[in-house]
This record gives sequence, C-alpha cells and structure tokens, in this order.
Amino acid sequence: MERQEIERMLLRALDVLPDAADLDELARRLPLQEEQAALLRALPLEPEEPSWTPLPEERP
Amino acid sequence: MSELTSLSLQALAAEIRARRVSPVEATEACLRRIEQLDPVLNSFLTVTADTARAEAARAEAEITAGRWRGPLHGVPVALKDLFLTAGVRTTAGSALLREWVPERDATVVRALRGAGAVLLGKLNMHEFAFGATSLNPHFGPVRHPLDPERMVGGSSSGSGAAVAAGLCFGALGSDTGGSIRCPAALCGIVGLKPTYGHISRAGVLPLAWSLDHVGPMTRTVGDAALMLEAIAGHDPADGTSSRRPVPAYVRKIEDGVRGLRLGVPREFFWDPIDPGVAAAARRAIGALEGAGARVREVSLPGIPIAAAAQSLLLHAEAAAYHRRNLGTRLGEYGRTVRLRLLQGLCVQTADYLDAQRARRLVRREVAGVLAQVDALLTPAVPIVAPRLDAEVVAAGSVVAPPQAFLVRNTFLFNLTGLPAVSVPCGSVEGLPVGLQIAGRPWEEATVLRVARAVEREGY
Repeated sequence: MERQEIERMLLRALDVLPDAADLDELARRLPLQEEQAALLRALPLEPEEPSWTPLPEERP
Repeated sequence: MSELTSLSLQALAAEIRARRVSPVEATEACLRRIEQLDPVLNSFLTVTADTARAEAARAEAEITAGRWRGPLHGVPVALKDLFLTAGVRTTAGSALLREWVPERDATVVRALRGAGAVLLGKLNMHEFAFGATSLNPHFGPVRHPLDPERMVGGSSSGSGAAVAAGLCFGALGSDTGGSIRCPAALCGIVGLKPTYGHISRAGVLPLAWSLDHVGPMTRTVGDAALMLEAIAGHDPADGTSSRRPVPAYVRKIEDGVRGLRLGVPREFFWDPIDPGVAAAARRAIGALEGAGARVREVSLPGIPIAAAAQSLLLHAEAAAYHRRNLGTRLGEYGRTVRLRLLQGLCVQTADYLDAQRARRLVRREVAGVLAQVDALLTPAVPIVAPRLDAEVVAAGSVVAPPQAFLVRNTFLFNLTGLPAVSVPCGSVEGLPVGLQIAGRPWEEATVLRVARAVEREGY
C-alpha cells in the first residue's frame, strides 16, 4: 500500500496524524491485512447472511 | 513453595472454614512470597498489602463469629490490571493509564469482594492486552517461575506467573484470542475462558468487545470451577450478559469421561507444532481414551477463514476503542501496540462486516462438529515458553516470531464464543504443556469435567 494512501486513511480516521506514526513499518504490515480481507471477500456468503451477533439465542 | 502457599484454593478454603488456617496467616504467607519472588518475576504492578491485611482481618473476625460466607472467604487472590478497582490504580499495563485510579469496581471485583476474597493487588499484563508475549515496554517483562529467562505468554502474563509461583491462590484474567489459556499452558496452571456472556465484562477495560472474555486462572480444575461459580451470572451492566443460571460446577467435575465423545481436529492445530508438545498432548488424549472416553478425529476446514476474521475484528475493534487517544497521545503507546492499533484504523468497514458474516459460517461449522462430539481436544499452545529475547522460535519445521504461535490454537473459541480451558498435560524439557478442551455453549461443566480427568492423570 502506498505511503500517501496510508496517510490519507489515518487522517480520515484521526483528526491529526501524530508524529509518532511509523508509516513505513505500517506499510510493511498492511499487505497481510489485505490478504485476510481478500480471503473473506471470496467467501460464498448468502446474500441475506446477516452480520454476527454474540450467541443470539442467549441474548438477554 | 511454602506448605501453605502450595495449597490449592479449595484446600485452603477447607482449612479456613475449619479454622485451622486463618485468612491473616494465608495473606501474610502470600505477601512474604511476593516480597521474595516478585522482584524477579515482576508479576505484580501494584501490591495492596495494607488493604489486603485489613480485608484478611475482617474475614477472620467474621469467620470466628460464625459468619462464613463461602469458599472464597478469606482466600487471597489477585487481578489482571484491567479490572477496575475503586481507589486502586488500574493501568492496563500502559503508560497512558499509569496513574489512573478508578472510582468503582468492576462487577466481577464486586463479586469477589462479596464472596469475602482478599485482594492482594493488580497483575502485570501485555499493554492494553493487545499481544501474547509477556513483554511490557512500560513495566518490564513478566518472567517465568521455572526459568526467569523465558516468557510466560499473555496477555494475562502476571496472572499466569503469580498463580504458578504461589503468590496468590487464584487470579482473574481476560481472553480475547487466548490471553488466559496461553499463559496458563506455558505456566502449567489451569485457565478457563467461559462462554461469551457468562461472566460480566462491566468495568473491564476492553480490547475487542465481540471477542473479550473474563475467566479464572488457578492451580487446579476444582479451583477454576469454584471461582467460576463465584463470578459468573447475569449482570444488567453488561449488555451481552446472559440470564442463564449458574450451575454448581464444582460438584460436576468428578463425573469422569466414560462414554463422553471427544473430537480431535485433524487440521491446523497439529501443524506447525513442537514435536514434544504434540507428543504430550497425544499422550493425554490417549489417557482420556483409557479412562473410557470415545475419541475420534473430526474435521474443521474453515479455520483459515476464522483466522482472517479474528484478525480483522480484533484490530478494528481495538482501534475503535483507542481512536481518540491515537489522535492525541500516540507516542505514549509502546511501539508494537501502536502499530497494531494503526493497522486497525486501516480495516475497511465492509471488510469488518464481512468478517462478522464469516464468523457465522465458522460458528456453524464448529457447531456441526460439536453436534457429533461432546468436546474438542487440541494442544493449547503449539510451543513451550519461549526465551524472552527470542526473535523467532521453531514449531517443528516452521520458524516464526513467538507471537505467531502463542494464540494460534486458541483464537477460534473467542471467535465462536465457546467455552475452552487449558489444563496441564505434561512437559517438554521441564517446561509445561497445556491441553485445550472446548465445548458447546454453556457447557463449561463438560469441559471442566474432561479437564479434571486430565488432571487426575497427575501430569
């Protein structure tokens, strides 16, 4: 992932981009995250498959 | 370990009830042991010696007056430092909260106080529970009681070391991917992560809301059952808390495993793995078969999806909780946790929701297997306690950083919310190995019963 793209993403999530952000190290870690997301995007989920709720039969 | 501090919680409780040991005596024994051993172990962040002495004296007076409250009355225990404690600092192992003193107790802390337990203090942990090594950049590493050059696992690192070393008779931990079971396995103690919703998380600093669990860490299965009975149950302050009644777990753990159907997953959990760990776990499984359990192989092919879902959910939820501080106090986080949290900010919303949908598929798959067997058996952690300075460790032919292995075998039961326990099942070159037993929702009694059968083998 491009450094500028990471900066944009973090700026969107935070009001300011703090100096302590190690963007190069972050850029090295993000491809793994992208792989994980791709694995899930390839799942044959039913169109009506809802999101998860914790043990729904037991919700108070 | 001194004779008194080596007692199980249940044994101490019996001695206290019979007034052969006083709570003051037990508390002083623990405080002495903390003073002797903790300068090396570094398991406590705060020792509340004065209030512990006062609580012990009060317990003693009540018991002497015939007002015994139950098996935790007068028993010294300790808390991972993310449980809110009124008037006692709660750091979550972080620099951000180094001096934070809450005004209220977590629900489980109130439950322990109500049961008459003596609180010895707050235990070291991985910063904000976001990691499974015992390396803490702000308070120093927790060291292994059997070899101070080794880590104890985490994130409930101090809880694992303190219980294993006899500094307390039981501790509370939290578990988001394996943070109770991992240190329990590496330290040779019992660690139980109950069903999601069974123990209140109100007043517990979160890591990831949909994955976080609270549970006991003890030296015996009976002790874990006893603590579970004391702290489980409905809490209106926790929106995910179940209304199910709490069974009498202690009474059920001696039922044995004869006739129980136990499943051993053929995928994932056994590769990569340290061959010595695999052998110890296989031996324990063989012993369960010898005790009358019907053991069979089962298949869980969806685990790679589960790993992806767990990782995205964990990072995103943790980042959501920390977002405000990331914007203003980023430099106060340790480097590892800081990077993990920034990664979390980069998880896209649609991917987060897909991870939640994938979670349902995984849960269905595991539920299908648990319809055929009563519990699942796996090695709890595929390696033994790594050295503190290890950048990489080997699990069979795979070499990777310790973090890659420490919660590899445990996270599935956070994602699915199922109860799971780690119980000692042997050792490799003197370092403990844990067997993980996981069961159906609300069937803690079954997993504890199997764990007790393993314990009975005397590993």
